[in-house]
Amino acid sequence: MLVLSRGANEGVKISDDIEVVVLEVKGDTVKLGFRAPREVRILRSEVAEKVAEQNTAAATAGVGHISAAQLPAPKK
Amino acid sequence: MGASSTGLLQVKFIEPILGFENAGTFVLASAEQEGWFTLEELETRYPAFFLADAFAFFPDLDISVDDDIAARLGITDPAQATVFVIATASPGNLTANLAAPIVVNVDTGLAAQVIQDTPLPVAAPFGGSA
Repeated sequence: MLVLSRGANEGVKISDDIEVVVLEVKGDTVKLGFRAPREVRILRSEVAEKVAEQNTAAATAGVGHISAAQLPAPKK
Repeated sequence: MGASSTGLLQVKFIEPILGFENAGTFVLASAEQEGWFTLEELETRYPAFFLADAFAFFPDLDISVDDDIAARLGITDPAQATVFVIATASPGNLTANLAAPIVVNVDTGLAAQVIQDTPLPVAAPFGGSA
């Protein structure tokens, strides 16, 4: 992992079109700003991991193994 | 199979479903139970997911889709967007992922898993409130 020291209002350029800027450092929290093309997905790491784990748990090989009878009906 | 042959829609994700970076094109179909749908990868049928109509099951759910995502999905009118939650089944338990709903533009077939900024559960029980 590349490690760089940056202070408030300093940034890092990643490739030509992505920039990460340190906006504020307060205690043990750093506020970051991102400039990137809109198709670049920027997520908190732990959120991305949690969603990927849940997606994996939800994925089935084919949709045959839950019968419709096991699915609840919507609220009226 | 749970899916009926009617109401099929080919769905293309504008960015991969997290955890499934190689799967981009799916088939969305109505399931036999009202409010339920299946989402199966087009070629290999893996991954496949059970989706529930988000607002039919969680009427109070507050989902936000940012303008960039909406634009990339080609959504110009909210009526084009259908919001689904992915269901996770384990023995005796069925939960909904409210934190990362699937938004589909029913006109274009473009879709995205839209991760919410607000803290919502990834495994909410069906029948509970959002």
